[in-house]
Amino acid sequence: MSSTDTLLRLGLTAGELMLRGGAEVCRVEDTVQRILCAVGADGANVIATPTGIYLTLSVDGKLASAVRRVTNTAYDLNLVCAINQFSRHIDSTISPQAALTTVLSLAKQNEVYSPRLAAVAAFSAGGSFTVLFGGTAVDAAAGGIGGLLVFLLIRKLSRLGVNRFAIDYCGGALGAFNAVAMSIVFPTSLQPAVLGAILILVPGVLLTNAVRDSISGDLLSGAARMVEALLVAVAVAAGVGTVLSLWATLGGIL
Amino acid sequence: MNTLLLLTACFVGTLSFALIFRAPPRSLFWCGLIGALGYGVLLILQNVGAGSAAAVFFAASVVGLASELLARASKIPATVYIIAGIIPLVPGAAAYFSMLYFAQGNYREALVALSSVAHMAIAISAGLAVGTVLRRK
Repeated sequence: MSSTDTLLRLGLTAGELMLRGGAEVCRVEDTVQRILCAVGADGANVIATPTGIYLTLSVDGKLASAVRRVTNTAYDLNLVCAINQFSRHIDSTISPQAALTTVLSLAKQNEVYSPRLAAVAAFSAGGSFTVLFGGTAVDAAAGGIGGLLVFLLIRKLSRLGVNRFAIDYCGGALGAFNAVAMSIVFPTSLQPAVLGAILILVPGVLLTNAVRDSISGDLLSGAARMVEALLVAVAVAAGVGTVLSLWATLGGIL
Repeated sequence: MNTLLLLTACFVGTLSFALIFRAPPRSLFWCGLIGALGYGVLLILQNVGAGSAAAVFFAASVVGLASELLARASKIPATVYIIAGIIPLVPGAAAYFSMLYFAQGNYREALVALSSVAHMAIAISAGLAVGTVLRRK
């Protein structure tokens, strides 16, 4: 593998990891450019979009290009920060190959929080936001269990490679179903428990990035992410709506 | 309902939320604090009688600005704090009622609730934009 190939691979890998982790495209482009120029490229032109990265390098007066398609997202803000931080400390003493190895090892040690701790966080997020939406202590328990179930469902379905919107639809439906089931058995109210459970599905990362991309002039990404956020919200709402409609049809009180 | 309880719930909820999105460990506490700060601003504004979209707009600008300042101090991208901070501002109740009215076939009420959801979503985006632009000048 020639050193230009290594540089291309390095740039695309770092960019892909950041994009999948939930970084704005502006940050992806900056970081990739900074890394490549530090380890030996004379110049680098990067265009990142939510669905792919285009990269052209200039090394010793020659141009080289590569494209990488980026499909699934797996939010990992810690990895985004780690690669961003790495790009600020890197200098020409590091070979491209060593830099690539470092970036890949950053991605491998990504388990900052154990799956069990994340599950506890899903429960506590669901419960806390149920309280915020006007729930009592019993509602909070129902919302917490809902949050945990939705979290586990997302994890399971994304491992199976299910479509993003299908996952959000199922998550919304499960959150609502849990709240309905709880309200049958316990004296809980429906609304806070539903809202607490499905809050994990709110497209907060997409919305934030859409706004920041738009402001920094990445209009393509900004618009694309805004539409995606809208679709996610519709999918979640459809899931909740399906269950609530069924429950209303069966004679349940909403 | 006790305001202190709400703010505590907001802090814990936002912190847990940040953890699920794998925010860096040393940012977690501040994520929770920003969530509570934004929600506190929202509560105050609603108390003095601001419209819900206006209240959300100002709360989101405070979140955006505080996140930019924290990002500079902690060398962690502002996105991390913003993503956590806007979660308590999400118009969950309006969205829920919109869904509920659709489910009941009450389309007029559903559309009213839906437009208030859209209002608040736009207010969040605009507020964040203000925070970011102020920082970058």
